[in-house]
This record gives sequence, structure tokens and C-alpha cells, in this order.
Amino acid sequence: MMNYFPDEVLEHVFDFITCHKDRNSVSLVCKSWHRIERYSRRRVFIGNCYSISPERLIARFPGVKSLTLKGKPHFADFNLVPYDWGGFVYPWIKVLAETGIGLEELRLKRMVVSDESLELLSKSFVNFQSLVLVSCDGFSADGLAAIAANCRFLRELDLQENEVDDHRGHWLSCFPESCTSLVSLNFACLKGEVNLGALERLVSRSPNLKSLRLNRSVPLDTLQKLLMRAPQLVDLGIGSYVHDPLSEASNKLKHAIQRCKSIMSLSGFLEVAPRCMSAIYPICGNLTTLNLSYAPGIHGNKLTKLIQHCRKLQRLWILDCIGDKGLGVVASTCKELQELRVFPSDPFGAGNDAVTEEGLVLVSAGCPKLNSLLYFCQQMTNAALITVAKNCPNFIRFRLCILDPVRPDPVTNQPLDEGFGAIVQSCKQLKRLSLSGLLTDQVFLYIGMYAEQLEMLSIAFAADSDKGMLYVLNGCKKLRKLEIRDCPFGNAALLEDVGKYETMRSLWMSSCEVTLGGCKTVAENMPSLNVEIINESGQTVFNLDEGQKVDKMYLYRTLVGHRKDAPESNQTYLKCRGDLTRSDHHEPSLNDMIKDMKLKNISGDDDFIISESNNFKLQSQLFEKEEAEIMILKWKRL
Amino acid sequence: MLGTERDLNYKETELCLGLPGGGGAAAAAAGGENEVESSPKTTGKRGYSETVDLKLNLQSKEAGMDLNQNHENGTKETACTKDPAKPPAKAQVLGWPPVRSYRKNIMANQKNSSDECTEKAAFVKVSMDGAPYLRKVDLKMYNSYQKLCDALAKMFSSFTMEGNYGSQGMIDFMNESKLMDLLNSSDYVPTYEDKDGDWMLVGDVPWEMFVNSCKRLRIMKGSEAIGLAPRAVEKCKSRA
Repeated sequence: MMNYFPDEVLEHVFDFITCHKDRNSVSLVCKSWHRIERYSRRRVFIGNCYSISPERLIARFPGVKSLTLKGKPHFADFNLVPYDWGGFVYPWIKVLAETGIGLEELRLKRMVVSDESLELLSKSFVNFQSLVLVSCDGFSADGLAAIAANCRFLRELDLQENEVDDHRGHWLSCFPESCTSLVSLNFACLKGEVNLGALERLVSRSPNLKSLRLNRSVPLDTLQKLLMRAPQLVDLGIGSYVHDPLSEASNKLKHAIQRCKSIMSLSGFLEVAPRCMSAIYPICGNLTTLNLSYAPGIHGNKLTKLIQHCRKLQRLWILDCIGDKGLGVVASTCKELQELRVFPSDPFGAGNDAVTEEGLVLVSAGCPKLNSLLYFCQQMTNAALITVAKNCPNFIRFRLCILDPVRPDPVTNQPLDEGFGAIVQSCKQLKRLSLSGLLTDQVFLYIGMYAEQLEMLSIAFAADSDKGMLYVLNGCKKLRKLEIRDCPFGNAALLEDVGKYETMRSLWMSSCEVTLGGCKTVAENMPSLNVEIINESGQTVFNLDEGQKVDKMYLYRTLVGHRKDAPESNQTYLKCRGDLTRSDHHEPSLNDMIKDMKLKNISGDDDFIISESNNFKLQSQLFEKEEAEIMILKWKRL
Repeated sequence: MLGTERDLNYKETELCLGLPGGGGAAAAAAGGENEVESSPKTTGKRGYSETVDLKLNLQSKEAGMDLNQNHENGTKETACTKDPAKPPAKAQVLGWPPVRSYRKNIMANQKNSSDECTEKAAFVKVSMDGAPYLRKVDLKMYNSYQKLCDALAKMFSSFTMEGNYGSQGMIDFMNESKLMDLLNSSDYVPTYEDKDGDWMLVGDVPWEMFVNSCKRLRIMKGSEAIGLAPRAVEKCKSRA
């Protein structure tokens, strides 16, 4: 029996293991596997940039080439987090640059990205190829100019929903003539004008360009020229789409579009004259992704007619002006639909055109493959949710947002506990859930009982008591992120099992009943957690007394203690007594730790923080095995 | 203290909300099962309205509200709607609905400027004195007076429009004497009939207002347009 393979063989085997979760598990099998996995790891995902430091990242994975970082908590998207809270990428880029890491790809979400960082990034990594920024801010067109000018082998520049100060539009001209490697260019979120000539030339010299998403300033005639030059496009985002359907420009456009036989994804229409949609029909039959959620101009008949041409759609993002009837058209046309997102066309309140439970029921009946939903609606009923649960047991993501967040079932006036209960009971693979409507503790009982795979839960204006939160914390073993606003959860719920938070990435609670005293207790007992408090009133924690409620609390596990970059103004965080290397504590035995890990299902995590944390503990204790025994393939379930 | 005990099945159709705070939190913290069970539902469901009230600075709710009471205070009606089909005027609660601020900003801007694109085209007849036939233009295809006049000039090639267009694309009639010159010349002047049936000089009002109120265009000789001048002259005087 072979006891081991040479390193090179194992490394080759590990190449096939790409999922973060599995790689983390692999690294925990034995010292040898840990070492090989470490040096061969190329892609690292860090779900919370404050959970670890760049130095430790590099110490563990010196060969890292692709880094994904997330910064601000999710509720920052909805203006619940002060703008200066943190999430700066600069320190990461600086350390990576200084240690000579061969970074090729950087993907950031909800981080603050300064022009300085972009410039440093562009100059520090010779082989840099791919920059993806989602919901970030802090940079301007100058930063983009640096990327364009200095990244000689740039393949991907993908800007999604960022707040960019792009008053000067010359950045596109900064791509040198020698740059011919572009595969993906997405600048749809930029508000300013771009140099159209430079854009045309850039597209002309990019034979590998597959994805192009334009911003609003790109007019129709330029679009037509770009399409003529890039008929190989797979993904197109249209900027301005205003033309007279009888004009010559329109004819030219039709011709150009028809040449693009590979387009499978279509988005944009940031400015649109809806009577011109027929020019698009020839490519609709191939579309698998369609995003019209920024095009309120397309509605009514024009919208449904368009959708009727899209029989192969798998992903559809639209506005609620589609109406229930329109969703009926989706249901009868798009049999392959997997993901549906219906956004409110009036994001400031209840729209008159909003969809209701009827539309959702229709889609669930017509689209059996539906597994991902984001649905903003006027109202929802228990009966509808129960039907949807029956029709679509495959939901992985189910996010329902009733525009009036405490609205009961309008037919029965009951809370929506039973409806959501049916969803979690039926959808055994459910990983993400967002609740709304009138909800009592009961729904959380159901969630705790049935939602075994649940990783992320968002709660607002719900529940009656601490019991709700306790049901969830006790029941959902795989919970990673819990975010709560405006619920009556207090210290009793928060403090019941503080060890649980070590198995989670983060917990957010705002406008709840948690007091300063409760937060302090968590911090003092859990050195591996950072507990941050954000008080709107500007009071620092020192002015609060322990019995006072905190506005917002954000706690997250970390291996590197408190961050140094928290703003002083209206935020503070609680220091705990002691730190990670407390020597006055009894060191748990290896068996204890393994048992502990099993109980908490720690190895199921997708970022490497916990495995790193365990390694830290385990390495000092020695692994039981130097080498893996082939028979023991328990690395999936340590 | 917190009013009538709430029926978990919500048999009452009114969704009325009592006092938040105090009782609920204490009951929860006490941990005793009975207290938690029987305590009226407080901050959870009240949270939303309470938040709304706080933000609007509405009067604080009175303690001991009876669910079946008619509320004299009009503001309470916003919290106690019987008719879910007609939601009350919504105050904005911070961060709700949970839409990314990027998206919110885009939609808000689009709302403001979308009228050009989302409404039906604004085709109006254009007549020119002396021309044998009329034309039609879609006002939505243009975004300024200058563009419109360029297009008209192309249509009626013998027609040239003299005009000083200010920063808003509006004819600058600040100069009274210039105005009189124009009207006395044999040059053509664009005029339009508005919603009220009045004939107006093109260029006085902001572009969007013009598009919404213009019913037809007539390009007339300056000398004939003198009848319209008094209004323009008055406006000129009032601006000076």
C-alpha cells in the first residue's frame, strides 16, 4: 500500500480542486498536504478584509495570484454604514507590492479604492490582468487612467455599480496602442463622457474582446460602429439607445446587431426610446442573460414583446413595471429561467405598478428550474408562498422584499410565518434568505428547524422577542452571515452562545435592543471577535452607560485583533481584555479542538480564516499524522 | 399598560401599534417564559411605524391604545390602516426598501429626465408661410431650441432663422431693440400654438416646458409676428 505520493503528484491532484471550501479542507488533513496546498494555492477569497492581514495572507500563500476581498458590511449598500467606516484596499496593495507577489487578479466588493491605490496597483504587478470592482467608491477617472496606461496585459476591467467621480473622461485614451489583450470592458456605471474615437480604436485592436458594457454617454452611431468591429461579442451592455426606427441610423444598427451571432448576455439601455426595440429581436433567441433593470423606458407591450423572443433566458433582471401580467409572459416563455430579479421602479416607496404575489406564483409555475430570486413587491400572501415552495423546491437564494416591511397577508391579515415556513421546509438547499412582511417568532422557529443549509439571513422589522434570534442561532448550523435591523432582539439573545459567532463571518444588529453592556460582554469574552459600535448620535461609547441601547453593532471574527483604521468620529469598538495568545488559559488538547470543530462544523467555511485559525492552534500541537494515509479520505468532513 | 392583549391570530383587521420600548425589552430580558409569551408585541412590529414617526416627528403614541378605538388624531391613521390596498403616504425610512444607493440614484435621475424617452413621441405639425405643404417633427428627438431650429432649417431649406440663443438654448430677447429689429425684418420667426390655443413666440420658456405645451409650429414672417411681440416685450421688461 502506498503511503504517500510525491509532492508534484499531489500538487497536480490539488489543481483540480478549485472550490475554496474543499481546498481549505484539504489543507487540514496533515502537515504534508497543508504544505503542498499552501504553495500551490493561487486563488484566495477573503470575505471580510478585517479578518486577516495581508502579511498573514502572504505568509500562508506566497504563490497567490488572484485575490478577492470584501470590505463593508452588506447593509452599507443601503446607507446604514457611515461613509468613513473603512474597508480600504490601499494597505493590501501596498503589502502585496512590497513582498513581490505576482498578483494577476484583484476582485473587490464594497471597498474604498483610492486613485492612489489604483496607481500603485497598476505599477506594481507586471502581469496584472484583471480588475473587478463591485459597489466600491473612492476613485475617479484618474485612477482608471493609471490602470489603462500601465497594465500592459490587461484583460479585464469590470466596474459594476461603483460611485465614480469621472468628471474627466480621458482615461480611455490612456490605453496604449500596444494594448490588444482586452477580453472584458465594463464601464456602464460611469456617468461622464468618454472619448468615442479612442473607444472605437480600442475595440478595433482587441480581437479577444468578449464582453463590452457601455455607459450612457455612448450614442447610437458609436454603438453601431463598435458592433461592426466586434461581432464576436458574447456580452453587450448598451448605453444610449435612442433612434428613430425609420432612420438610416436605425437600419445600420439592425444590420450590425444581426452580425453579432454570439451575444448571449444583454444589458444596459440606460437611455432608451422603446419603439426601437425591434432591432434587437434577431439576437433575443440566443440570450441567456437579460438585464433591463436600469431601463424604465421599456415597459408594457414593448417589454413583453421583447421577452417573448427570449426563449432561452436563464437569468432575468427587470423592473416591477413589468407587472403581474408581464411576469405571466415570462412564465410562459422562459422555461429555462433560473434566476429572476424584480427591482422597484420607484425605489423610494410603494410604486403603483408594483408586482404582487400573483406574478411570483405564475413564474414559479412556469419556470421549474428557478433557484434564485430577488423580488420587490407590493404584497405577498401565505398561500402564494406555499404554492411557490411546492412549485420550486430548488431555491438556493430566496429574497423577498415587500415594500411595506410589516405588511401582513392582505387576504387573511395573518403574518407571513407560514409562507416562509413552507419555503424553508421545501427548499432544502436554501443558502440565502431575506424576509419581510409581518413576521412573528414563529417564522424563526421554522427557519431554525428546517433551514439546514442556510448561510446568510437578512431580517428587518420582524419577530416578537429574543426567541426569534435564538431559534436561528441554535438551529442554523451553517449560518455565516446574520444581519438584523429593527427587531426586538436584545442581550439575552446576543449572549446566549457567543462561541457561535466564531463559526460565522459576521453579525450585524441595528436598531435592536442590544445594549452597550451586552456588546462589552461579548468583546470581553471573545478575543477572536471584533465588536464595533456605530452610534448615529455622535456619542462615543464612553458617554453611553451600559444600559443604553446601541444604534448599530457589527461584530466579526478576526485573527488580527482590532483594526487601526476605524474612524474616531462616531464609531468605536470595544477592546477585550487580553489577546489571542493568553497564556493564563488552559490550552485545549488536540482532541478537544477537533471535537469542537466538528460540533461547530467549522470546516464548512468558504474562506480560509477558520482553517487558518485552526492551523494556528493545531500547528503548535502537531498534527497527528505527518503524511496522509490513502484510506482515510476524511478531508471532506474533518 | 400596553393596552389590550394582542391576539396572535390578528383577528382584528386594524393593524394598530401600541407603545414600543419599556415593557417588551424588560420582558425579553427577564427570560421568564410567561412574560415573554404574554407580553404584547412591541418593538418588532412597532419598529417600522415608530421609526417612521420618529423621523417625521409625529406626536408620540399614547399609552394604552385600544385596538378598536377610533383615533381622533389624524396622524395615527397612517399607522393603523385598515385598507392595505391603499398604503398611506410613506415616509422614508432610512435604508428601506433595501435597494443599493447606486441603483436608487440612477432611478431617481432617470425619473427626472426620462420623460423624453418614456412618453409617446411629440409629433407636431409645422407650417411655413408660403410653403405649399406642411411637415411634421417629433419634438422629443431634440433637446434644445438650437437643434430644433437646425432641423427645421433643413426641412425648409429656404428658411433661415436668426436668433441669439442663450445658455439655456432660449432666444435671448433681453435686448429690446434687437427684438424689434427681428420682428421688423423680413426674416422668419418660429411661433407655436400652445395648450391654451394661444400663439406664442418660440424660445421664451425652458425647452422641456415648450415640448410639453407645444401643439403646432408655424414659421411666420417677422412682420407678421409683430402681433405676438407685446407679450415678448413685456417679458423682456420684467427680466431687465
